[in-house]
Amino acid sequence: MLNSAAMLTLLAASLMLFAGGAAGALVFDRESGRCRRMTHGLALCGTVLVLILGIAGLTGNSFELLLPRILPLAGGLALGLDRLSAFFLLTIAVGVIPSTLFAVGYTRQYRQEQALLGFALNVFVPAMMLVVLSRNVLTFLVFWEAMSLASYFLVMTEKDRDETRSAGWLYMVMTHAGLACLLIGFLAMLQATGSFSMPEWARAAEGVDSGVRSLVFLVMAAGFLSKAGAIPFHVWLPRAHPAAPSHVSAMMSGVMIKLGVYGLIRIGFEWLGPGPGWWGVLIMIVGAVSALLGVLYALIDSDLKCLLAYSSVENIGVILLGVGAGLVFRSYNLGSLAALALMAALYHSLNHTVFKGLLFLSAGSVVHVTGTRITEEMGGLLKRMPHTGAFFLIGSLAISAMPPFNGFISEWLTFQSLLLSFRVPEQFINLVFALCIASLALTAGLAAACFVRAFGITFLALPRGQAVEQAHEADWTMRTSMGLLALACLTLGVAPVLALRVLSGAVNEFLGAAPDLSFDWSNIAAASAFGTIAPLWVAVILALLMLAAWVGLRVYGANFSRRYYETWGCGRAVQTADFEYTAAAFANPFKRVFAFLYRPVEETEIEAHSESRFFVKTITYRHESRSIIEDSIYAPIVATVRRLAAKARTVQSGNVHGYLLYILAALLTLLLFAK
Amino acid sequence: MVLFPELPFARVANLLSFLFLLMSFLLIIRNSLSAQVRMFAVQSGVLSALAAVVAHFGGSRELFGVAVLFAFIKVIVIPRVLTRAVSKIGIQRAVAPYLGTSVTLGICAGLVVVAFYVMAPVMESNRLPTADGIPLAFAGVLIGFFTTVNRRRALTQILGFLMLENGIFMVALLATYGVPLIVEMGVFLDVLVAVLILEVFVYRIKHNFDSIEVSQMGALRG
Amino acid sequence: MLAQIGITIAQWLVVVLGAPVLAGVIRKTKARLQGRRGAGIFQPYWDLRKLLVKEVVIAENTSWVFRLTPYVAIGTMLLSAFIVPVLTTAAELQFLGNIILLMYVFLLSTFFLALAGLDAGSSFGGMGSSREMAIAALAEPTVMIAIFAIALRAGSTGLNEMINRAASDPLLLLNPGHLLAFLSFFIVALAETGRLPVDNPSTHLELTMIHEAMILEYSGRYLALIEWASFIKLFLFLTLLGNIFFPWGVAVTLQPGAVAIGVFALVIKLGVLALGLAVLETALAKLRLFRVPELLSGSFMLALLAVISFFFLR
Repeated sequence: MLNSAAMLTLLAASLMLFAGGAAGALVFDRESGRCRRMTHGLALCGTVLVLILGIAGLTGNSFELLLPRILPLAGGLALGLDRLSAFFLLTIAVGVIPSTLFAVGYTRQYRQEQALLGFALNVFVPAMMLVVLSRNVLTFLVFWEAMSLASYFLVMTEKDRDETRSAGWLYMVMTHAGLACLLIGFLAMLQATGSFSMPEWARAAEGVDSGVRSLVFLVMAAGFLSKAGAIPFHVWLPRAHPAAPSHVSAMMSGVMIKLGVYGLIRIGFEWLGPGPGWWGVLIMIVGAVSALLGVLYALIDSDLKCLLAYSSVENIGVILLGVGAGLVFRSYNLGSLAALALMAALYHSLNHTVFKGLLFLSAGSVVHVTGTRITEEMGGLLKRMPHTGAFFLIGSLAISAMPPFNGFISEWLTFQSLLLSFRVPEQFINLVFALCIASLALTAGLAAACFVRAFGITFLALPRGQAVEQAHEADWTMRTSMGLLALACLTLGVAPVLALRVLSGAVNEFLGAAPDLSFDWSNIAAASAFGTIAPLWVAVILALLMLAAWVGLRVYGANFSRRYYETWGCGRAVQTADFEYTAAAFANPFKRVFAFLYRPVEETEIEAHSESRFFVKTITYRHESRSIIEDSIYAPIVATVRRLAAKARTVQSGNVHGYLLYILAALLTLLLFAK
Repeated sequence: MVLFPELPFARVANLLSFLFLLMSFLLIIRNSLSAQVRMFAVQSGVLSALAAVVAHFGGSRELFGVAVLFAFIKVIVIPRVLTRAVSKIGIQRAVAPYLGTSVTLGICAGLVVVAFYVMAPVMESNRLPTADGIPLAFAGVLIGFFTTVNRRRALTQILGFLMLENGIFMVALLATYGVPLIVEMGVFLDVLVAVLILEVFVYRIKHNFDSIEVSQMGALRG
Repeated sequence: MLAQIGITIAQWLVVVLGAPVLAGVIRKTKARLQGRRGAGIFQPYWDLRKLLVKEVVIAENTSWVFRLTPYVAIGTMLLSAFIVPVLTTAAELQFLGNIILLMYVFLLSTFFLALAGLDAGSSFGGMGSSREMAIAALAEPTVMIAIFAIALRAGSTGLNEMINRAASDPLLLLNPGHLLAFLSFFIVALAETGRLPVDNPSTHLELTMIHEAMILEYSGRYLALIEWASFIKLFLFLTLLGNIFFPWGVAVTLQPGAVAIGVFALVIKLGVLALGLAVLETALAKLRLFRVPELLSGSFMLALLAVISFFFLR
């Protein structure tokens, strides 16, 4: 057991390491190599302390800290650690440690931007940590904004590209729209409870009118969901994440968006007090839609990092399904089920950090050596980058929820908690849950297809371009970081008890109800015998049976000689990459089945020889899918804003006296109001 | 006299009600007109079986008569008439709905839910063992109605109308163990005559316009 | 304890060794229905033996994924054979997991087969992979909702409990939810095992194949393993259909008499299902690929109706 002084020392030490890293970035901005090693090394050490802090918190240590002199306006700087915060600290550390290690080798390519990258990173990581620890409004908002700004600068690393600048712009707009929502919510609660402290709110919430609380929930949920990247607030995510350097993408997709989920959990279960069932239903619907649309867009995207970003939208959807289910269960006083659902959500959130980090890092090393993000130009990389390829395969299996990897366990838990919804005595809710089960199942199937495509087209068969021919394996820091994450995928899949133990403690403390789940090293049982699984045994027996099949063939005396020969091509003489199935072709059945959603625009131009139209010179095929959300929600908003802005231009006189008049008028109005 | 006293009336009635709804769904899935007519015949068969079951457990001899009459008209006569119309017109496939099959199925599932919602108070107040099937019957009515809206061809619209009528019959059957025989006979006669007239109409339309595409009637507005 | 181990291994052997003969019976019945004499019902064994002594020819472009896949395919199916209760619900090795685990294990094998299809770099393999994944993905919601419908009445997602609960209901077949779930699960089983009208298991025309196109590059012992795995998958799906939806005869104790009845019941159920499958495959033509989603959405509606029937009927 650590006492609270020791915990605070740990916190201070880690903050100092980050500060050292940030300072180092400014001091050594001329020496790119030293700057790179120092900033990332210090960030790594700082994050290790965060990891220790998180583990200490999860084993029951806590602290409260109030520094009234800092931020004196709003009750001072208030920090605190409970098990839920500790779990998110753990998630942050698990995502950040491999990413910074990866960055040591990976950021070698960014000579000019080294100082900015190092500085922003050393602000970004502690800001995320402090968001999780914040206990009053102003503290929370300050660190929330610091996190957003730091991540904005990280996204803008390759600022010379138009694509990056527009992505950064969109990110900035969306994140501040989200911040505005949070501000409104916070101010309304401040008004209603008269307190800056969020733990105070939880106690006072019962006295607040439920209509007000519902409104605050809606507004703040919108704010947090926009950070989490849930549909329909996701538009920034598939642009900003791919534009950033890959280790930053891994941290943003793996860690930062989880803080949106963290905020949602806090307002849904704690800060706003007990809410009606429809809060949960709403979150579940957002989750189901995000999961389904996220994976559908991932499935057709040919940009490797874009695909991973859309898949983050999908996984946030899966997490939200668990959170929403928990909210519904709690409103029907099914505490142990609520705890189970929340536990599934938190476990999936940790798992997503692990496998999405792994996928972004390995995609990063691929992009690094090939210089392209387009899967159609890759192929055959498994032979040139065997380790990276194997790691990507493990990440793909984990994210597709394949046993015995970690994604399977959390998806299984989510399914169990959704299936147990029949205990809710309300037919409408039962039906919503049934549809959510269906959409989660479809999501799982489509995710498998999506990652078969991602891995198969990128790493298997023949290279499709020059860049790929010269590809080489990544350096040791990059491979080590990927290896760590791959190992975590397997460990959390075969020995989930490691995570479940701390998670059930955290959920139990947070909700005041023990999850309806019993588990040990070999066995997990949800709701006594409703659903059981033995992940360790599944993995061991599967491995043994595969080995047994091989041994069996040997013993039987099967023919083990093998001959290499050309791939069958209907008698064609040569086999080139042109004959391979492309990523677009792979996705075509899905495009046709879900055409109502993609609204594809297809063009085929065939140029034939003049003698006969059967002798084709060139075929150009163009395919474009529209985003239904952007077309139907954002386009009208943007158009309206443009129109209003054009109208507002009439107020702009360009005359200094005119502007002074506006200020005077505003001042007078405010004074009159304040009276 | 009850033949199988251990067989719970409510479960048999439920099962048949579900089969009835299932037939509505199959009718939507099937593409060819003749298959649809067959599905309609099977649905009517299920319904007359249900009427017989209700008659058996409810001990009503009159309802047996209704069941037999129903079977005769809707399982034999009307499908015959329709099959003849199909072969005369000679369009076997091309059912041509406005919406795709999957979307139609989704809407129909939604209609089932709506039916359950709307009929919940009726189920509450009705203590008969057959009350559970009422929402299903009502769903049959809604699906029939929707089919008439969704299909382009006059003949499938007739099928939709007949499904609707089947549903109404079933609601009456389940909610009050059927209406008096004399009323029922009147309704049967009406339906039969309506089908015959419609058949002649369809045939004339086809003859005159070389198509039974209902949407082309828009051209008649002048 | 000894009896437990014994029955577990016995069940496993029944699946693993009995799977090829089931395929043989289906082929034979189909041949008879089509007016051919057909090969004997033990022909699949001879085919496997022949394949095992043949040399393996590997496409040059492939990687280790191609060589690993046959072992994953057979390994996952051998594992599944431990999970499904075949003769009795009293064996305890089903602690491995519930029906959701089973479905994901099946998906794991499809995942690797699809990767292997892409690995050789031929258009056919890619086409097969893409189509197989599309069908597998679209079948998934139906599977889960059908499972939900069964689990609702059984109060469990464990396979043993599902079967026990169904067996304890004397009026099982009068239950609309049960029948609807059966229908939808049957359609899904056809899709998942690559039978007509979704995929034609006996076609060898490249453009119409789905599963066969995916494994086009395999030969020798690799092909033997994959074929065997797909026999086991078919066997397991038919066993699930037989035991969950028609649970009579499945032994609830480990008494030798009960197990003997279990064997007898299994043979009858599989025989009837195999006959049904053969008749179906003779009567039906393959659907166009883009009509398959309609079939699957139909089966999804059936499963959803099954769930609705549970919640709304008293």
